[in-house]
Amino acid sequence: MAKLAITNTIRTQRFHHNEMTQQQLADHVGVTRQTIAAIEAARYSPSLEVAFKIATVFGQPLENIFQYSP
Amino acid sequence: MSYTQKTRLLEAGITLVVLFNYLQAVLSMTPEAQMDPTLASGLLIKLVIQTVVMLVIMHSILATFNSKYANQAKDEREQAIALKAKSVSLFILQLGVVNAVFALLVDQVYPIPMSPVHQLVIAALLSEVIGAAVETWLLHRG
Repeated sequence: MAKLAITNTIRTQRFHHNEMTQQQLADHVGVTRQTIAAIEAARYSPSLEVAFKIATVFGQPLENIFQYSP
Repeated sequence: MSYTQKTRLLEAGITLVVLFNYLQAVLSMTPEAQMDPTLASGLLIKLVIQTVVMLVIMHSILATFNSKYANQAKDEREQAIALKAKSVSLFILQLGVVNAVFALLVDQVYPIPMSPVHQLVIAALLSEVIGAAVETWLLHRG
């Protein structure tokens, strides 16, 4: 399956946040672990709301988490 | 496997069993019996009761073992996938309706072995099975 033009640093951010698990991040954001896995693997582009929630969990601005490369 | 994936897989399985039972009952009938509205409505009531009972029992069992996720609403990705699967399901149902109408129209000239009412019910069940299977596959794919 083709990857999306939006990449992210969620895996790195999880590592820097005490090896936070996908399930822990999913619980914070209010989605399923499978959705976090799909976002992390760039198979699914989240809504703005979920993207902001993820950025808030890591305490980073949105552009540090998601990058658009056309 | 997420809770939504488990429930959809379960629903696909149950609908497949119900479809198999219904097909078996219809195919064992004579063409005259198929056209009998009393027998057809009896078969439909049996189908509805069978489906409801099986779904309630299986959902209760699933919810007992996954109590943490049972009350959670679908997230945005799951909703988007459900919408995509529903469009596939509706397409199958539309084909079934067109097929039943066609059967009704040509029945006078070329008698068709199965009553259009039963064809409609089978199309509805088939669309549900395929919709659930597509949703499960899309949820698995990511």
